Amino acid sequence: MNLTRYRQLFIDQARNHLEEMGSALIALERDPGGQEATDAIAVLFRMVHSIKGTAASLGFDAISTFAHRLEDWLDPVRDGAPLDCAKLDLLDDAIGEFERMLAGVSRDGSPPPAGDGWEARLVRDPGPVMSSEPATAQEATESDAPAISASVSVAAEKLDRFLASVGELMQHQSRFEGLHRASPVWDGHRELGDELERMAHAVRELRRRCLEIRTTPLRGRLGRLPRVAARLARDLGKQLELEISGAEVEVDRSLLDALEEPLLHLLRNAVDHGIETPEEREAQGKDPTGRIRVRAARAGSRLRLTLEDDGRGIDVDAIRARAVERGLLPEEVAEDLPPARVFELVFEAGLSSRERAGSVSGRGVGLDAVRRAIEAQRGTVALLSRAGQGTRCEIDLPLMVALQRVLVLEIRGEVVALPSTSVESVVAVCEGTLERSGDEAFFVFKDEPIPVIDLGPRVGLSAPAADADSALVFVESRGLRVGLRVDAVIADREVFVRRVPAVLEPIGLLAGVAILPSGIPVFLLDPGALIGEPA
Amino acid sequence: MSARILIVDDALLVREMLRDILTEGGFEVVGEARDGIEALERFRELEPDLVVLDIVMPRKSGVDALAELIAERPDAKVLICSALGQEALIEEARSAGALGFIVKPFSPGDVTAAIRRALREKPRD
Repeated sequence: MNLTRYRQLFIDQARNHLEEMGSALIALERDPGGQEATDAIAVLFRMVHSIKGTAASLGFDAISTFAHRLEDWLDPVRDGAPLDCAKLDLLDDAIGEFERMLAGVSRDGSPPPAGDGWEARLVRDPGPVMSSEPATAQEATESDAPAISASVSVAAEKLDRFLASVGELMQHQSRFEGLHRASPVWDGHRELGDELERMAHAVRELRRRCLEIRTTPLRGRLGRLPRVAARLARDLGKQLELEISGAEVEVDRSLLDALEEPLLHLLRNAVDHGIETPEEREAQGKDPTGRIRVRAARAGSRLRLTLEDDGRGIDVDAIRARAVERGLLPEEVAEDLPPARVFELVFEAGLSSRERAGSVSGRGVGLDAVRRAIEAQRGTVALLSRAGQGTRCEIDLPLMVALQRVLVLEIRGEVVALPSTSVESVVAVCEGTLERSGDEAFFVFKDEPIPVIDLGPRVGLSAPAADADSALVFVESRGLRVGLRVDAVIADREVFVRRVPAVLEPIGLLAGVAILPSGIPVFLLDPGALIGEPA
Repeated sequence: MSARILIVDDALLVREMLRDILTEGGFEVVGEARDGIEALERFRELEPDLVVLDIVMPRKSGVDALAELIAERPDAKVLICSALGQEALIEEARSAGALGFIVKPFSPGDVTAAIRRALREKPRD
């Protein structure tokens, strides 16, 4: 039996089921008594039951037993028992527990046992003892739309292999076109040329459609946010309105997984540290109900996510003081640091303007983890805040990690690439145009000295000859702008980018492997890592 | 000629596993269905030698589908596939005319043995 494939299939299906359960919980939270709630309860039952059955098929007893207990616990609800806040919380936690067990399956091949405490939590409210059998009569009469045939589930791994094959096809096709142009053998065979052009068109179309398959609406993941926010607000005694827009934006599937934790973290932060209690807000003349807005929008090939609250904002002086206290900055520097730079400090490890007494948003990760997660997707994250008025967090990400525009560069005969999105401009220079100050070189642009980094030595190649002509590629990351000195800029190309192979990850300077149209793989450098201090 | 089998389960994973097990065991999987209604349709259309039927499914449960199927075709051979904790339903299915049971998690050996046994059974009167 192909266990790996079954496992993947199981994980994918179970995750879909959990997403549906999440949506059902939101519906229940919104309208506990209506028709929508009745439907939502039916969905909960069916999803839990399906997870139980499939987990049992693979012998994942921890999951099937947990699902079975949950089914039992839910039984009175189907018979009309009310689903109060405590019950919704339990279901919410149960989704989290399933997710944890699924992660175990994904990592170790089998699920970890259900966490301590579930035994006690899943004891049913006292009432008539019922059979553990699901009431099939009701399930049988559920008339859910049989629209399933309109979609099929495919393991992500299969899809990636498919995408890689299409990438290879593109490379061959493009090489073929090059040969066609270069070779006189083709002269006088116009039909061949026409056919080649049609084929090129078909391949581009195939790639476009293939990329469409790789993407999915943000909705699934954003769907969890209102539930988390509502619960947290309730626990903290805060009043909250959450507004989400742009949930229909299509995103690369691999981005979705990577975004979930950072988004949840920022949201918990906003509810926990940002939004004040109704009393505090009223005392300041604010609406007692706090507002959080999450917006997603596409800008070209980039995704812009904004999370904005109208809470207390960030106390700039408190962060300055923390930074000094932790030895990140000398006091005199901290005092003069402009607010925009102070907000960047918030993303440093261990810095937060408030004590994490409640620790709801803590969960062992800080904003530094958020930044790492975003940067791992070649994105950037920035904070803006005004004391007393609120905080806005902006995340900017390249949408398609599989297809990217890159600038192809030459250094000492080697070819490397940089993401075009982080390149601001390129200028040709010779040694005389650079200002020197000790070991450091600067390029003066509009009276502003921009530090120059010699890319060759930075990536383990030799330094350029003193009199060599070169190009400066200006890149910006984390608010720092530098000029990267290279021998030549070869081209600006849209290429497939594969993830950094695990063996090369320790190098730390790579953002991926770019497959040039000629089929040659070259290293795609990570501007953020190049600019930052060498680890 | 290998026996022709229809697989009915609402979970894709279970259908895939059964398909692999049956194909490797030398049977021919002629079709799949995701719920009781589809099961009846596919049965009429394909006339399989045997049906492997899940009990709990949306739209129409396995027990109901089984009862209808036997009413329509008393000689139909049906094997019930179920998770643990459905003992009462299994009993119900047995009295509705199921020839045997496969309990999840299933091993390839158990599945093929149960199917061979069911195929050997004399048709009901």
